[in-house]
Amino acid sequence: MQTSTCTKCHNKYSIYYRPYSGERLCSQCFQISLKERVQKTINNYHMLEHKDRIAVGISGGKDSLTLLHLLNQIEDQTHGSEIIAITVDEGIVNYRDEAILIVEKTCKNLDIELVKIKFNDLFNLTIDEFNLKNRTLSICSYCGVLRRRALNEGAKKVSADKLATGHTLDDMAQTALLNLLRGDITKMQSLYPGGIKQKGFVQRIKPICEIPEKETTFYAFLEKFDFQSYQCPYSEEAMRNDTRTWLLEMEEKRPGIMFTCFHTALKLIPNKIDKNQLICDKCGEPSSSKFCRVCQMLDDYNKINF
Amino acid sequence: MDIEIKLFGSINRIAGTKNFIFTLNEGSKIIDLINMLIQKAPKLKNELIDPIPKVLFILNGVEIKNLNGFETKIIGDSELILLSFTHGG
Repeated sequence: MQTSTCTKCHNKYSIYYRPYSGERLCSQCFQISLKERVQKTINNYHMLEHKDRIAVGISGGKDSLTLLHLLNQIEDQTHGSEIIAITVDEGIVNYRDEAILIVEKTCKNLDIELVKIKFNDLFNLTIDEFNLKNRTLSICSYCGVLRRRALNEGAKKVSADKLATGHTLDDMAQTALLNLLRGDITKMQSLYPGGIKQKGFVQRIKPICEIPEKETTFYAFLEKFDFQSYQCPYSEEAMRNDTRTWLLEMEEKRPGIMFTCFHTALKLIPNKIDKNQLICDKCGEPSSSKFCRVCQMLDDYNKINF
Repeated sequence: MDIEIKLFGSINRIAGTKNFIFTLNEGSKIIDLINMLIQKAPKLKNELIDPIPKVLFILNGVEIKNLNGFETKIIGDSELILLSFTHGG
C-alpha cells in the first residue's frame, strides 16, 4: 500500500492527513509538529517561566498522557522546570481503577513523581456514592467542581507554580459552544489557555488546547500508550455529548471549524476579567461569594439526603 | 484475503471483544468491512459511522483519511486498528 510523500520532510511516506491544513505527514513529522504546536501555544500565552514547578493533571486517558509526554520532552530540552503528575481518584469503580494503573505505569516509565488525591479523603464521599443518593444536578456537575478543587489541592500540596491540564481543541470548542448555548458569556474567561493568577489557586494552563482529540489519539497510538477501555459510566448525562457530536459533524464537513469556534470564543472574553475574590466562610478556600461552590454543593446534597 | 481488526479504547468494551478476523473478497473496501462489523456487533454502529465516526481507522499503519477514506480498497492480508477518540481523555 503506497501513500503520498510527507508534505513536511518530502522524504518518507505519509501516514496521517490533516484536513484543516492539507498536510500529509509521516510518523516523525506528525510527532514533531505536535511538540512544536504545544511549544508555540506555551509561548503565545506566556504559560511557563524558567524553572517553574509544573503539576500535570493526568487522568490516564490519551489526552493527559499526551500532555505529560510532550511537556516532559519540551521541559527537558528548554526550561529545565520540574514536572509532577497529579491524579484524582473520584471513586468510580472499574473506570478509575483501570486509569490509575495506566497512570502509575506511565509515570514510572517517564520517571515522574506521582501524587494521588482521593475524593473520599477530601470530601468523605466517592462519585459512586454521590450517584446513589438524591441530587439536584447532574453527576458531571458535581464531579467537575470537586475535581477542580481536588486538582488544586494536589497542586498546592506539591508547591506547584502552574497546573497543566489536558484540555484539547475539542474540549475548548465544546466549552465555547456550551457557554453560548447556556447564555453564559462570563464563563468564557475560563477558556483562556494561559489561566488567571488568583490568590489561593494554582494558575491553570492548557498547553494542548490547539490539538484536536483525533491527533492526541494518533499520537498515543504512535507512542504505544495503553488505552483506557472503560468509559466513564456517567458521561452520557452531559449536554456536552450532543455538542461534541455536532461539532465533529461540522468539522467533517468544514475542516478547521473547531479552531474558528475556539479562537472566536477567546475574542468574546470580557476585557475586565472577574477577579473579585472572597474567602469561603466555611472551608476558608478562595470563593467568589460567601460560600464556595464546593461547600454550596455539599451542603445542598446533605440537606436533600440527611 | 484475511483482515484482522484490533480494537483499542472503549470500543472494545462496546464490541465485547478486542479482535475480529474477517475473510474478505478481493476489491473489498473499508465501508464493506464496517457493514460486516455492524452486522456482527450492532452496538458498534454508533461508534463507527452513525452519525459520525468516533474512532480512528488505521489500515496497515496508515490513517484512512490519508488513503481514500471509507472507499479505500483493502489489498491482501491486512490489519485494521480502531481507536476510540471521544472517550477517555
